[in-house]
Amino acid sequence: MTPAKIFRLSVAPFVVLVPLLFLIGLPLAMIALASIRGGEGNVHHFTLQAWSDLFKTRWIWETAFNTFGVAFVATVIAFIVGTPLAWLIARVNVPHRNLLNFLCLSPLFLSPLLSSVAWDMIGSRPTGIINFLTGGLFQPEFRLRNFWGISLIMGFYFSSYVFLYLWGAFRNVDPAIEEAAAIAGLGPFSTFLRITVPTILPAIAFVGLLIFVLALGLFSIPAVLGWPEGFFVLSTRIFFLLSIPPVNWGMAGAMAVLFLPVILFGIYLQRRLVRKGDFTLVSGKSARNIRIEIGRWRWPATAFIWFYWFIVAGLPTIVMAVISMTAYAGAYAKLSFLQYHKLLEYELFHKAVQNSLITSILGATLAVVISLGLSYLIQRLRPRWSPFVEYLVSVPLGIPGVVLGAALLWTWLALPLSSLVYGSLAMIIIACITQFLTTGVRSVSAVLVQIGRDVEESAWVSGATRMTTIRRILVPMLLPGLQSGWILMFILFFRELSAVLLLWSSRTITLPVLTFEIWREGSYPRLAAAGMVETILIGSVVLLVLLLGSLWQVFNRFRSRHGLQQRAFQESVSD
Amino acid sequence: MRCKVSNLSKFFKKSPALNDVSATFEEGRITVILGPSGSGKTTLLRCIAGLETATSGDIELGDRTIFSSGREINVPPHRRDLGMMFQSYGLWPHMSVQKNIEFPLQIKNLSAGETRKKSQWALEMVGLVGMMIACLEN
Repeated sequence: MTPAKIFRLSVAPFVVLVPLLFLIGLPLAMIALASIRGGEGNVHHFTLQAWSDLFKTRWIWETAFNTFGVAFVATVIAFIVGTPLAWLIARVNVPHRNLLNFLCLSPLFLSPLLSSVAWDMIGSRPTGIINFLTGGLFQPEFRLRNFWGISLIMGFYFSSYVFLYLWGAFRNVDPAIEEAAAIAGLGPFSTFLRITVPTILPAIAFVGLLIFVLALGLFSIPAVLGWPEGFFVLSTRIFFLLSIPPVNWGMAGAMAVLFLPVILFGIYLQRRLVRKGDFTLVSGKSARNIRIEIGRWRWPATAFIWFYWFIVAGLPTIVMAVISMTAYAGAYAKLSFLQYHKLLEYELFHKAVQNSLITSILGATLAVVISLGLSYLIQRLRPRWSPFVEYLVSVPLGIPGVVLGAALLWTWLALPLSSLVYGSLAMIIIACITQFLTTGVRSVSAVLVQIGRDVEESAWVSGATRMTTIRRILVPMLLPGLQSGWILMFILFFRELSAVLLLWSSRTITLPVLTFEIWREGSYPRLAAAGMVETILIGSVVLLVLLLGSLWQVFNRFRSRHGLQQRAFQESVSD
Repeated sequence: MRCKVSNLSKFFKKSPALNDVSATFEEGRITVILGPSGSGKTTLLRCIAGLETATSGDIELGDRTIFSSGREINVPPHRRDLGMMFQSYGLWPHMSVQKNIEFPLQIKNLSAGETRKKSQWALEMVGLVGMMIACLEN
C-alpha cells in the first residue's frame, strides 16, 4: 500500500467524518440520552420516567395532531398558491417576467417571525386591520390565532419554496414532449394534466416532503400565532418545557426523540426520490423554451402575481413599517421615529446588532467554505464512504431548530472544556452552521453540478495539480454561484431564531432573539422597529455584497483589457 | 514519444469497456482510432491520460511506465506530461482565448516571455490573434 492509499483509507474519512458526527450525531445522541436520564446533579441513573410522564400528559396527542395537521395543511396551501406562480413564470408569456420573477421570490427574504407578527396585527385582534375594515362582518371577530390561521400563514411562507423548485421543474420539461402530445391529438389542457404534471411529479413529491419536514419544525409562526392562545406544536412545546420553570429536560428530550424518526424517514424518502435520477434539480443543457401564449389572460395573470406579492410580502412589510412609527399599539394618528430613538438608547440593542453581524458574516463565510469542501468530496472525489457523508449532511435540514438548540446546549454543558465555547459567539455560529449545513451543501452542489468535469480534466492533463485546478479553474468559475450561496447563508444566519433561542446569553444576544424577547414583553411598536432594523441591515449587506461582486467583475475585465492594451502599445512602438 | 499500451482492460462494474487492448503508437505519427459509439475509444484515451484507472494492464510513455496494475504504478494525470483535446473541448470559460492557451504553459513553469511567444505563435497559426482577449463566457 502506498502512503497516499493509506491516507485515503484512514486519515481522510477520519478528518471528515469525526467533525460531522460531532456536529450532528453527538447532539442527537445526547438529547436521546437526556430523555432517559434520571437523578439530580452528579447522581445518574437511567429511567423511563420522562417517557411515561409524557404519555400521561393531557397535551401530547393534541400537540402531535396540531404539528402534523398544521404541516399538512400548510404544505397543501403552499402548493395551491405556488404552483400557478411557477407555471406562469416558467412557461407562460407574461409581460415583465424578470420583475414578476423577483416578486415571487421576495417572500423568501422575509423573516417568518416578523411576518407572523405583522399578520397577527393584521388579522387577530378586534382592532386588527381586517376586523377594522370589515366592520363587524365576522362575528364575533376574524382571527388568525388558530389552527387554520397558522396553517395559512405557514402556507404563504412556504409558497415561495414551491415556486422556486417547480419553476426549475417546469423549465426542465422538454417542450418537444408536449409538442409530441399535441401531434398525438391531445388538447392543451389534457397535455398539461397527462404529460407535464406526471413529468414533474418527482419534483412535486420532493418539494412537498421538503416543506412538510420544515413545517413540522418551524417555530416562529406557531409561537406568535399559537402560544398566546395555548395552541402548541412540537417546537413551541419543547421550548416551553425548557424555558418556563420547572425546566423539564427529560420530557423535552423524549418529545424530540419521538419526532425524529418521522423527520429522518421524510429525509430518507426525499433522498430516494433524488437518487432515482429521473429528475434533475439543475439541468445543464438549456432546453429550448417555448412560451405559451395566453392572449388576453396575460393581464389577469400579472394581476394575480402582484396580488400574491402584496398579500405575502408587501402588506406585512408596510404594516411593520407603520407600526414601528407609532408610540403605542393602535396610535396611528401620530407617527414618529420615537421607537427607533428608544432602541438606540438601549445597550442590549447595540450588542445584538453587533453580534448578529459578526455571527452571520463569519458564519456564512465558514459555511460556504465547509459546503464547498463537502460538495467537492461528494461530487468529485467520491470516496467509498461518501454516501454516508451525504446522508449525514442531509439530516440537519429536518431537525427542528429548537431541538438542535436544546441538543447543542445539553451536549456542550456535558463536554469538558465547554466553557470555552458555551456562552460565546462560537456557540451561536456552530448552531447556525449545523442547522443550515444541508442548505449550504445543496446550494453549492447545485452550482458545482453545472460545471462539467471536462474543464477540470483538461486542466489536469495540462499538468495542473488538484489544488491548482481548484484554485485557478474551479473557484473562479464558481464565484458567482458561491456569492449567491453566501448571501443565502447570510440571510438564514442573520434571522435564525429557533436554534439560537436556548443558547444565547446577555453577551451573545442576537437581533432576532432580542426581537422575540420584546415580543414576549408585548411591546409591539418597539418590536416592529427592531424588525425593520433587521430587514434594513440584511438588505444593506446583501446589496453591498452584490455591488462588490459586480465591481470585482468590472475590475477584472478592466485589468485584463488594460494590460493587453499596454502590451499592444509597447509592441507597436517596438515595431 | 512512443506510447505503448499492453493488455489494457477496463471494467465499469462488471461490463467491459476495454478488453485486453494492446497497441503501440509510434513517435511522429498520427493514429486514428475508429469504432462505433460505446466501443471504448474515449475510455482508451482517458486511461492513457490518467483520468480513468484501468482495471489491469500496462501503459508506457517513452521509457517511462505511467501505469501498471501489476507493479501498482499509477502516475496522476498532471505528471504524465500529455495534451488532450476533449470531445466537449474542455475550455475554461472564465479565461480569455489567450489565457486558455497560456494556462498549461504557465503550469509547466515556462518564463513569461516564452509563454507569450508560444501562445502568439499558436494564435497566428489558427488566425485568432484579433480574438485573443475575447472571453469565452459570452
